Amino acid sequence: MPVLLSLLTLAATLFLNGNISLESYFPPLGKVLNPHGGFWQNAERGLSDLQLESSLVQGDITIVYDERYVPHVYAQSMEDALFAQGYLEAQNRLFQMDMMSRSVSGNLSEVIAGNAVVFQKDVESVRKGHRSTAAFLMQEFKKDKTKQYLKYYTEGVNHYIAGLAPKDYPIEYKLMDFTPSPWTEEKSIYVLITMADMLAGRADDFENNNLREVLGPELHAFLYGENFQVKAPVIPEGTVYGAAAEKDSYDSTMHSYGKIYKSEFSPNRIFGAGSNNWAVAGEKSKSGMPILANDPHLGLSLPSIWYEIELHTPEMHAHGVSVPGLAGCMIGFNENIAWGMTNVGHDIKDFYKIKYTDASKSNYVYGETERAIEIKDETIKRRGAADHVEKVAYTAWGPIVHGQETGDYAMHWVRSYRATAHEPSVYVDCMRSKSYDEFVAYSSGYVSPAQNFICVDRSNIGIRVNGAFPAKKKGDGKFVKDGSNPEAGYDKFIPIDQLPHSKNPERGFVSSANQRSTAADYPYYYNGIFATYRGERINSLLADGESFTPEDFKKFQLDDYSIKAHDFLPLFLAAVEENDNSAYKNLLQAWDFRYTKDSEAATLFYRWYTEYKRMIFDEFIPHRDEVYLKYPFDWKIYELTRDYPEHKIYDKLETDQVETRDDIIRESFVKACETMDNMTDKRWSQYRPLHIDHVAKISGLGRGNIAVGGAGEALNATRTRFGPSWRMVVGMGDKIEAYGVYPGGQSGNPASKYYTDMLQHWIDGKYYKIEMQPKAEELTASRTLTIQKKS
Amino acid sequence: MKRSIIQIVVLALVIFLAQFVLPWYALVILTFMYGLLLADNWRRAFFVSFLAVFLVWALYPLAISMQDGFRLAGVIGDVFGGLPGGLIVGVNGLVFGLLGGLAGLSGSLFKSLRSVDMGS
Repeated sequence: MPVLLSLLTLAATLFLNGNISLESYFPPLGKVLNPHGGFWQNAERGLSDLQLESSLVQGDITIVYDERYVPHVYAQSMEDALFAQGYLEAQNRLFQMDMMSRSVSGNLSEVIAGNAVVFQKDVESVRKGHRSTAAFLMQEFKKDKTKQYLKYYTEGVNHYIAGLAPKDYPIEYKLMDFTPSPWTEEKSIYVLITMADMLAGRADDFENNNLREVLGPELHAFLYGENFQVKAPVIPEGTVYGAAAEKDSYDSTMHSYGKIYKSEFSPNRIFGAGSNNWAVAGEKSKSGMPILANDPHLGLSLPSIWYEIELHTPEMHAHGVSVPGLAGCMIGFNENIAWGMTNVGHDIKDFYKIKYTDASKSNYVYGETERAIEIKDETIKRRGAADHVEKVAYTAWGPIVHGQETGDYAMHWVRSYRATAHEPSVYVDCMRSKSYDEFVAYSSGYVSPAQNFICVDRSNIGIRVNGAFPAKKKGDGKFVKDGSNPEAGYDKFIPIDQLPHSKNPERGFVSSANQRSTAADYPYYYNGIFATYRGERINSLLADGESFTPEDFKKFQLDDYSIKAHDFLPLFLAAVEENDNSAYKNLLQAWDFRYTKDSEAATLFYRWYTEYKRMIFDEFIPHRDEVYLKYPFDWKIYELTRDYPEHKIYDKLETDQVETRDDIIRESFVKACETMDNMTDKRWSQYRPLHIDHVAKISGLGRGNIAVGGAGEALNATRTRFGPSWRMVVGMGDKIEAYGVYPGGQSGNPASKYYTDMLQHWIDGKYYKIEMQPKAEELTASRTLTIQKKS
Repeated sequence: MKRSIIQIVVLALVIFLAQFVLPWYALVILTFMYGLLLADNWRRAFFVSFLAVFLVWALYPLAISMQDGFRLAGVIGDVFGGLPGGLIVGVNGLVFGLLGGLAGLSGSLFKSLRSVDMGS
């Protein structure tokens, strides 16, 4: 009996200590619930001031947290300011940084045991060659001996980690039972790769190959071609570029057609993110000086993707938001300029079909010659299991990422082989720019993820499509390419002086919202994934108005007007018979095309359009499970609807009669009305609520079912798990007038009152006024830290 | 009764202090030792161990929770399926109190086993 009881006690203890592994992960409750070392120690019991010291800093640093827990750093040098930034981001966002880095380095399984999805993600990371990319970037970045910004940032992070006792580890480390390891510059580079993978890792080559097979080359070219009118490009038509580029003609031997079947993971990522930025010149503002607005729409998470910070050195005083893990601020303002970013959708990722010389797959055809496949062994460490060695096959084009019976495909990604030594300094140098021209000079040599760099000073406005873009032949990169043809690649890049750039344009404003960069007059060909409606909306609002104020720009950021609905709905309603579902028809006739929170018409239009699209492309249904496919862009479906009412794509495969546009409109309307009938709450925000998950999807640490207005194609671009992740408006003037808000809070500790304190403000469409504070003692401090130089 | 109370308080204090330097499972070892060396019967061994651990594992969290307005307890309640924060504090003490009680009981039963052996 006593032996039995003791064994039971022992078993219970081992279980609660996490020594007995279960089918699914269960936290080690003994460690987690221990009042002395477990999560209880993460309670925020008053934020006491701290005095620290380090031999790595050049002078004393003072950090004052303000009432929103935004740190204001007062340092004697840029190096010290970045040391402080590293320290602060670790103090508030360590787990998030760690996960972001691991998510592309293939090191998630090292800390997350027995999760097949996570392991697959690691395999995907190493197969995409991210480790080779990181090694390459490290080597290139080290070539700039003068600005080792990542080094100081890293030292700051590690100063924080070194001072951590196990009881102080962030809650997530305790729940997942692992120890924070020291930060490295390489980990920051992985954060950069995460951003590039998310924003510049998109491609639709496989989809286009399949669509060409499913629809036929002619119909594919019609629905998915690049030949459309660009209504509102980033850079206005008529902008003059440097020397004329040589125009290459289309080379029909470059592509390799044929279906690409689905395999274990999709190397093509279609992503729901987008962003807006715009600025008006002094002549269009009430104050007579420029105003800038920027709201990046990324995947929403808790903690938020952004960390707000103010850095002060003798030569610089800047306030903005950074991505934890990277030095500097991507978006912000200082005493002389304001700047921002939106993503550029140019396709910089291509796939090449590899033609092997024989079944052993050790050599492949490359022009007249053959080349050997290089195998790199990549070890994926697995917690609680043996290491896994993934053999990654490399070709001249890049790593082979996708294999199927009919062939293997290599991925060629500009980010993996192109870099400048200056690149990691760009977001730091933005902060210290004193004029528009300095900003442009500092941001030259930026590679990826390509962004629309917008900036204003007190007398200039401008925007530049900034990044490394291949100078492609016409049509290049639309489909999978022929890997046996050395001519299928590109070796030239668009020179910096021919990047699309607009400074002080006549119309008095600059803007971008992920649309095409240029009008048809740009000398270079490019393809990619581009939005349309938001850019059009911004431009029409800015063209129509005068004497704008920051208040106007806040309203624009919250604008939920849909040009898509405005375009489609008259065509839709005209086709519907008088007596069909008249209540729903009346609802839409009275609609102002705004995706407001309480609008039922918005829900109905959304359902109607979704059904309409699905019914038109019934051709996809038999293929959907076996190959990658995608719908044409909305603007193309609009052209189809407006100009081709009898087009054969409307005809349904399953019926004998011939359907036309109006049949599909009516049928999809009936279907949408049925769906509406079955809804208990038809309001838009109830039908499509917003969810903000925790970065590691730990349930209970995110926030779900948030009722907001907005839609993907509206300026207030909310989608189920995406949305404006930072809203900023900055009015230049003798004194800067700045506002900002993001859906989260500064602290990454879920038990902190600063974890979600800004969320409600964001939901309500409110902003915080940001006061630049040159003197530490004039701030309303919630906490003060000092880092003293240790002699 | 009085003796039990003194033993609970002393054992709780020893566990409370020990856990600042030792891992959480020190509570299992300490209550087992108490059962084995000090408790004069199995009933007392169980209840004293249970209550001593309960005191540390519920009162200390309670003290912490009163300082942060049960914010953290609420968060953990959410992680474990939406339990109210106050309940988390109680469950915390109860689960580990039972483990302590079990360990104390085991220790005490070993002792009786040993004395039976010696007697024969």
